Amino acid sequence: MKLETTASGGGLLRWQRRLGGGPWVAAWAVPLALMLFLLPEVTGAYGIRVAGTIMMYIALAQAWNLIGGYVGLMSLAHSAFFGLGAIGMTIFLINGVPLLLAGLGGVALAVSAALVVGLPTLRLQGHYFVIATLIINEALVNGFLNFSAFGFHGAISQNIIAEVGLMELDGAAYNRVFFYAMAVLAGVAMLIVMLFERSRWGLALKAIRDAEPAAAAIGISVAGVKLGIFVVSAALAATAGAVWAAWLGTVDTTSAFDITLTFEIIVMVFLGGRGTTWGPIIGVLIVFSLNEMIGVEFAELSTIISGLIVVVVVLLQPDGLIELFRQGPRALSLRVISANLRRYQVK
Amino acid sequence: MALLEVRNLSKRFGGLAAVNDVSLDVGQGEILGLIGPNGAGKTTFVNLLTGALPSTSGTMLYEGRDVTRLGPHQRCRLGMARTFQVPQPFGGMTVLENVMTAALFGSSRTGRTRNSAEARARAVLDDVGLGEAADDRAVSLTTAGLKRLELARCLATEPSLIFLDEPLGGLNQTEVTEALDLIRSVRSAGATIIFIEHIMKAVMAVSDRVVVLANGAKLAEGTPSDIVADEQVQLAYLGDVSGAVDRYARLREGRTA
Amino acid sequence: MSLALQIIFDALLLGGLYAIGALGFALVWGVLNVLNLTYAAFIMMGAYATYWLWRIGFDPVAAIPVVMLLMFGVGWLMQRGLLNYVARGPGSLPIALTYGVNLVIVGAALYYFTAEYRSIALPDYLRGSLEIGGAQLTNARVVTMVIALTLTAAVWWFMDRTETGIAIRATRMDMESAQLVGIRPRFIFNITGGISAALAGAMGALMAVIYSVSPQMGDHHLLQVLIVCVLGGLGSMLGPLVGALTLGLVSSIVANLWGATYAMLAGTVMVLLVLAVRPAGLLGRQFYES
Repeated sequence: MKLETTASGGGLLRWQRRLGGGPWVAAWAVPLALMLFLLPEVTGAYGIRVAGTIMMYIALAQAWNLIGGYVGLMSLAHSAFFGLGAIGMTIFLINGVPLLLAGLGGVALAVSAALVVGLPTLRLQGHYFVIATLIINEALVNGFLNFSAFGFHGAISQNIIAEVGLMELDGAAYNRVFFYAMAVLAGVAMLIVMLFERSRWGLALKAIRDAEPAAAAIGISVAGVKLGIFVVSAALAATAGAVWAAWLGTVDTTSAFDITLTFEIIVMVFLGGRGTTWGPIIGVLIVFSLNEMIGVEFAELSTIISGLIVVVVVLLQPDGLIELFRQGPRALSLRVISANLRRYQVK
Repeated sequence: MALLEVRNLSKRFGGLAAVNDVSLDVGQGEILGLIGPNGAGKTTFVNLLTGALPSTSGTMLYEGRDVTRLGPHQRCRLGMARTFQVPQPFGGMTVLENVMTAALFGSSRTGRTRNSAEARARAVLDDVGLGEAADDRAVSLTTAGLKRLELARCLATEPSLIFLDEPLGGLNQTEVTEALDLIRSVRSAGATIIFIEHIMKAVMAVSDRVVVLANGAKLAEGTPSDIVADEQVQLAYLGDVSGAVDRYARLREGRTA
Repeated sequence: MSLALQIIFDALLLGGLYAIGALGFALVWGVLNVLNLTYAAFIMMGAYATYWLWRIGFDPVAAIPVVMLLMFGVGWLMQRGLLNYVARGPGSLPIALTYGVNLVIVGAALYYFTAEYRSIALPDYLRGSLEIGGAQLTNARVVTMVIALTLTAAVWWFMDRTETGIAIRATRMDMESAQLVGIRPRFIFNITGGISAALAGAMGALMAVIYSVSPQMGDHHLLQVLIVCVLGGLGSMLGPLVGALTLGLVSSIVANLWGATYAMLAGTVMVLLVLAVRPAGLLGRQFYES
């Protein structure tokens, strides 16, 4: 990344430079936004649902990329944040809180959970953070399955269509609203990642990832930065969960807190390239294309295949398929691959 | 008043005392050499002083202020900076970015904008002789270059007290001479330096005062010439040879630190 | 009175099982600084191996050493063929890799064995039960506990008395010095991976004897193992044992009072509390990683 060396301009120009290093950012951002806006006009109901789901996964993958890719912390709690967004919003909704505020309530719950997990563990060395993030999901599933208060019963599926309150819309318009919501969320996630990359916090993240003790020694509050990113990441995942629940219209505990989701987005980010702006998007698109090809009726097969993908990527292409764009076909040459394989090998 | 006052500082790992009840004063503007045989606890001691490791007991005052419980980033912002024995470059960044990051986060004086940080970083890189390499990737530097980068990053935080952890390790004779000149010039710019080194000769050449650590405790303290004459110190360094054998034996029993 | 005894028996049983699992898991964590998520699959493989050995006529208890031997081989191969390639990488790589391998193994098990639960019909000597102070204690559980304690003691002896065990501990504490005295890290890593998997296999085998067998059983048990490791701390061999007994006791109290679903919640809360207050674990021995 080349850093800006000129004085910062004001307003739009500055933002443009931060997003792409030049005014050409408008050349791709505007048509892309227009295409997304018009997409519902050209696809059917199935297409728009898939497109909305892809947008959701982009948002989730970028959320995970912030903490898992840029900071290198293997958070396994993203399904927990997603679920808290969904269930939290549901609880507020059925108690009469308006939709947007209820969604914010769900996000606030997820942020508190991130603080509860992050505060004690992020200042520790080693794998305690990973473990805490892994078990928080399990704890929340068990907790909410037994939770029965404020008109919410965790053991049963909760219908919130009436509370979401978009009943006057027909099916196509309803899907379109949520597709746009997911697209905006994906855009916001992208924007956050890009701003992080180009701000001084981006440098702090890279410093922490490359050499943590040195980062602390030059004045970076390592635990503070980690916690901040973790909270932002959790809030994004929770927002996705809230939108998802509102779109679906029914919420149940086990599918809201499905840890498979966490691993899905990790697979996507690793596949595309962790710690990069575009890698996660590449990963999401590839996984969705594969799923379309294999189909859901072979669940075991797709489990095995995603496992194999992770193994192969970690061993042979640990920087992700984005290397194909960076290096061209050379990234798949035997020499590069065998060098990758030996990169982290025990001597 | 001393710039840094260390009182009865100890660090225990399990049953082993890596640093044992060390007290020390460092005066404004001095170069203090900290020497000792391998395994004497020098690096652990520096890690305690910079906050990289929490101490088990004892206190540290910096500019009269208790910093014992502060983390490394807080101490850095107060003006304590360090280099690492094994260079720890931010490998994904350029040399300039490495130093800029330090200027952005470590210094409370330079305004925290990119432009002022970059100006500061370029100036520091010129000072340590890395100006030409500013746009190279940090990982492409030689050992000597990495040591200079360590120093540049540390200087970019505008420190008053600098800990140099074996800055001469892995350097050849010419590079050692250059590095020593650099250290002297840093001091003449007004910084206080604690200079940790295994090579006794180099320490003697630049230090105003020398402290010897052995087995985690302070063995001797004095001017370089006092220290050279000290019999105990010579014994400690000779003991270093048998120390390796001892370490091997302890390792066999699985009780090493 | 009988409820209290029942709780204690349950705790000892659970604790014994988790202690074995945690010992193996902590071994790889300590020596390689790797969280091995394939451990879940190893537990499951141990359970299935026991089940299939029983189907071809083995006594389930006699099958355990065979299973451990098989799993040692599996662990060695996994270490040699996969983990050694990422062990020096950033921490997220080994986690992702071991998770991927876990997916493949569990997916394959689902494909070949289906999600159906299978149980071993116990031979007569494991069927009876003892009654102590009004609490029921089945023979199977007594045998399980005895085996668990024996294995724990055996690992202890191995790590404390044999040259290989000491070399493993030396590598864990200071790899560079270990290399200086001629210890080959790669060899130590392979052995460690093998022993770890053998212990996972033993845990799975015992699970198969007293509970049932299914492809996804390991995932749940891995969570318990992780909790035990955090509770006990990694500083000593005693840690996993203490952690396992603590988790066993709390789980069985909570399960008996409020129901099994709350047990996991209790374990999680304990972990977060321990991490907040006493991160080195209940025993408080600092691990050499900070």
